[in-house]
Amino acid sequence: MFHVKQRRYLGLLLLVGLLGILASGCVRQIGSRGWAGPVRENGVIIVSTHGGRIDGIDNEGQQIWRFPDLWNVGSDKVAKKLKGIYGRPVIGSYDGADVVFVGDYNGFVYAFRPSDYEAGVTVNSPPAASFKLDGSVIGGLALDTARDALYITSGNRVYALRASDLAARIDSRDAPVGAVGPAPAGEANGVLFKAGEDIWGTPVLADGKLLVSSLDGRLYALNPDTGAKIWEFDAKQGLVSSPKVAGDLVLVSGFGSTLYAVNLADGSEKWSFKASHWIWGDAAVDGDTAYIGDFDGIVHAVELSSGAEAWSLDLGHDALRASPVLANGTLVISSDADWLVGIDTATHAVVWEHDLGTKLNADLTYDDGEVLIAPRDCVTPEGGGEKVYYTKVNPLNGDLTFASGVC
Amino acid sequence: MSLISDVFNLFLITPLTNLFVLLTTLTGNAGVAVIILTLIIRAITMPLTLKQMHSTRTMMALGPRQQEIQKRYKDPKRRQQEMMKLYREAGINPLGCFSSMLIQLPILISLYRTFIIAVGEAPESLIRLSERIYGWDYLRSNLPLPADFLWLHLGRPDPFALPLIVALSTYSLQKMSTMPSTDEKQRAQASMMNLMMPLLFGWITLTLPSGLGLYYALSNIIGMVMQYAYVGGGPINWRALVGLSQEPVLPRAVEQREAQRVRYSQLGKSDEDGQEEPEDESEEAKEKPATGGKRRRRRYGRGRR
Repeated sequence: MFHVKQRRYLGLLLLVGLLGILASGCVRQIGSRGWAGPVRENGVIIVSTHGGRIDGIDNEGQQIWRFPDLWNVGSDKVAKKLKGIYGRPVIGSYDGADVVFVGDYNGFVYAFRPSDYEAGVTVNSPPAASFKLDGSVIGGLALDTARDALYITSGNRVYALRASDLAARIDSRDAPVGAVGPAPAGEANGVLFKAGEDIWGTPVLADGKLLVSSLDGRLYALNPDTGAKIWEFDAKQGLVSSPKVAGDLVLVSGFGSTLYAVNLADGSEKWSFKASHWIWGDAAVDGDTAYIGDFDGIVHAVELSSGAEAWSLDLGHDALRASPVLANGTLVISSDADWLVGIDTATHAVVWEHDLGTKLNADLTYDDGEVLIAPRDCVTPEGGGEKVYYTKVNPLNGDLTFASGVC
Repeated sequence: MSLISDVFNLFLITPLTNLFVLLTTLTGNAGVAVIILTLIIRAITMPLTLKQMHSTRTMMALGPRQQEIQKRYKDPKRRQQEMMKLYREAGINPLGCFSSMLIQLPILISLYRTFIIAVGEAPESLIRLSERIYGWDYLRSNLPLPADFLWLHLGRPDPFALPLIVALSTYSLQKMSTMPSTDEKQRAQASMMNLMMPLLFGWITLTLPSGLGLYYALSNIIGMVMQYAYVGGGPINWRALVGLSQEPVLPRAVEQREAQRVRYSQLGKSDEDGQEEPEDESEEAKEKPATGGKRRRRRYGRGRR
């Protein structure tokens, strides 16, 4: 059937085919896009519009700056290239100017002043500060201005750095950055606590405690000054969501497909609610009800007092990774399969929904009557035309707003 | 294209991913899971591997007869017919040489997807995993998987040691599987292939998740053991294995090839040219071909009589 020569060609063809398929597979490798929720400060929406960058968008929906593209972050090649922002940026004020702190998957935390850049005026790239941590920043940051402490999760560690020192590094690149508390034995300066596994949830300060959830299955309550453990709760399965404080309870969830309510005072379990699939987003709380979305695409309303399910709704829009938000009686939730949905919490009915044509895994943010969103990519609007980047939605009627200059 | 992709996902990628997650959960180590997975896959594909080994060895033994046919018949159609007749009588399918390779191809692609989903570097890979993981709480709740094994992160490429191991094991397996040709041109081509293929696979490993490199290296080692067992053991020429000698790595394989060559030396000699084959050779050829050959000749009803 095949001659020696033909067989050789066939072998070569198979090899080329293998290489081609593997090469095409490489292109589709799952990258670290990040799922940082947007924030708004002084009318400027700060949002990660693409993997490894963060944009400032003004009230008119015009992009006014982009980090790190327009800043000078030094000569470190790793620091210069951001890989994905997962935690919300936090903003502090130092010497009369806002400073944005943001952590990246590349293992660096950055500080920069948006006011240092003005389009059409700034000639040279303004300086930005960077600080190398031990592992990828997925969980995010918490800023305690009273303590002058910036808490950052990096790999399985919690860092506590002097925020003002990091801000000062903007102008003096080699300025030392002090630590808030003593480092555990064998750990670098600045490390406050080390968990068993990576930390994907943002640390939260409440009731004089620093709450940290970890993939080791534990929720830790730490002394924010020393890192000493006050209590820990063991869920047995990896915790992904950030701790959500609701009155005297802390809500956490993760790979165990279970929402746990833990007493903030002592870490004892009050109740648990089992869903059918993973719950990664933080719960949205209103009165006695906590709202969560799971990876089966189901929205659950759970009674805070008992842990019983009040109602559930299968959206049928694939995994719900992002944290939902409540806005004037409307629960706004987004899905991995491109959908943004508004649900009336009184009637449990979908009041509006949009297929945005891009993944919506970033946490949603409620701010001043609007819900800020951070889609994965720019999209072509329904009527056609140039690509746009959607930035917010009116929770009452689902009207979308987009930004210019982003795509 | 979507149908092919769906079939691929349903029957290969998703089951392999779940099996990998299960094995990792049971053993607590993703590297051990890769080793078990490799053993399972090699066990399942063993019949094809044996068939490939048999076909390859027979094809090598048929080399002189193929050359004779090529010299003798100028008409390509007739030459093709005679070749086919030769293969039939030897009881092999020329595609048999590629059967194992063909089955390895989709497995490699599926494993590639499995590793970037199950132990992928980015947190987003777990969202993709959620779409594939079966609705068994035991599987779902023990994630994310520990991706570290020895010095490797199985979801990331290894920049040095693993590509080297893959290249060396590919080289060794090739050296064990091939035998030096008597033809100078073919020998040069084989030497080139013996060098190019390991370099190519080593280079590919640089860009792939380490889990896949580990699978490939282990698979090569199992292939070497199988090759050794297939020729019935015997001495190993270690100098040849590391490229210091042009001699065959497995001398027994050469003995077997030569014995087979004698056995097949009269196969396919056609009587269509009015040239009757010598009585004694014909009888020898009738008696000695592999069982498969006898069976096939009977099935096709086209012996040399």
